[in-house]
Amino acid sequence: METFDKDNRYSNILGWLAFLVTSVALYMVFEYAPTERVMGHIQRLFYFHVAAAWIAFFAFFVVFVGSIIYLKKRSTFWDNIALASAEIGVAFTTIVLITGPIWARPIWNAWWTWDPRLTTTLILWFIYIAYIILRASADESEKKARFAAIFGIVGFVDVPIVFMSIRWWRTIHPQVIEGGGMNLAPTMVQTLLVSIAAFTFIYFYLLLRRVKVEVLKNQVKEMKEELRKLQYN
Amino acid sequence: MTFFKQIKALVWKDLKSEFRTKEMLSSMLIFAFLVIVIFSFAFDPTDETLKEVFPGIIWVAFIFAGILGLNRSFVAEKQNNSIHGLMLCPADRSAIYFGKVITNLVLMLIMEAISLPIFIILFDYSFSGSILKLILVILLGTFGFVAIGTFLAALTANTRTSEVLLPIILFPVIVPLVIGAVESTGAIFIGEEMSEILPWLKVLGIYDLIFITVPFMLFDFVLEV
Amino acid sequence: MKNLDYLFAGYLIIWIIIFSYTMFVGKKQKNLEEEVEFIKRTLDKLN
Repeated sequence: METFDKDNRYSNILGWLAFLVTSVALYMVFEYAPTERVMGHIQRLFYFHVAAAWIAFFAFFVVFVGSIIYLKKRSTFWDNIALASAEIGVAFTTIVLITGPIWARPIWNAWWTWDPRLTTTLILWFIYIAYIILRASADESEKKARFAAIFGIVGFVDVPIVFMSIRWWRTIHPQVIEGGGMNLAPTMVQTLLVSIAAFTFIYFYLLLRRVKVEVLKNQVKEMKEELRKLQYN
Repeated sequence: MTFFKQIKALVWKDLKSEFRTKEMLSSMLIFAFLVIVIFSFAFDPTDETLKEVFPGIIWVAFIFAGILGLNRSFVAEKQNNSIHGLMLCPADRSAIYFGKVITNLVLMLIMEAISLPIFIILFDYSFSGSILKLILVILLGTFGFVAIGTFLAALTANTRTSEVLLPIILFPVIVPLVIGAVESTGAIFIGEEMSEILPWLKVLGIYDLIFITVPFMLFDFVLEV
Repeated sequence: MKNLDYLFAGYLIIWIIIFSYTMFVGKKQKNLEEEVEFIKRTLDKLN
């Protein structure tokens, strides 16, 4: 197993870094940041909720970039990046979609509000779930990568239009609950930034690990091919 | 042959074979009709709330019926491998895309032109808006739906679960289009001012423009062998 | 103070999702590494 140890060293370092920064972020969320006056303790959910949303969006941007580069260069590397990033993005979007209602329930007395940001996140979740399903239902790996890349571009181009249209839609239908509008103290902003940093480290850690899995899959495939040739000779 | 002549030839081929059997058109029409009838059981057709959801209902019917046509447009070419014949044509690949878009657009518009009056009669809906504006909205909405739908149908035609996959990947992408189409149709139905409708027309216009350009740029990648 | 339940539930879910995804990837990687080792040994034997 020695061959893998070297490859795994970087992801291990990144993993420990992620752990460290996350610990600091958690300390700041629960101890350093002041309790919000109106919402109380539940507002502490805000930091990781927003950080998850940022990282999810960043992950989908990486899918978009990876898809474009893949279609230009046809390198498996960029396809792996796009796939890994889409999966991690869906995981973080799921976090946003679950923590959103948990935060909304005690504050607004409703689990779900058709707030533009929350609704856009839901549509994003659907788009990238579709991306993963599309990938799974193509037969050959080249087709998988090509179709996924095409959809990765289309899906990301759609995001700003989705957000715009949902925002206009909500302004026409009177909103019972007004979202957003929070005055952030400087310590709160610092806590948010550290939380985002923590999730960024976790993102890159997971990205590295997930890409590694794809590399191993290809390696297994090639070796099996070699084995098959040997057996026939 | 010029680009437009090529597209014309492709559209003509598709429409000719469709009008010979009227397979797709009749299925789409009956399906749209069925969706409306199902909705009338789901909501009380004599109720006031129906007036508010009516624009939504007709777009749901159009989109569901449209999916049927989109699914067939490339899967039908896979039978007998006619897609390879198309790809061997001395024509730009995007001509195939535009040809399919126009064919699907024609089929959907025929379906909508027949079913919309029936829907209005069935629900006894008192229509008080301008018909010209309504036609404009239906044209813009249908065009956007067909533009991205045809493109994604070409993608899914090459996968194992094409018929199931298309709605899953198409519906999240057309959210802005549905919002724009439903809102503007609703505003026209109750005879709102043009200034109320214009923002939604803009959404539809921007959507159409983007989702005819992006597929045009990417279509070569879909039809690689 | 009942809001603390919600706060706790929120953070619990965040870490459940991240940990289960990490576990999922880790397990996949381990299985694949074992497979690579296995095929390598078989190849060595055959050569």
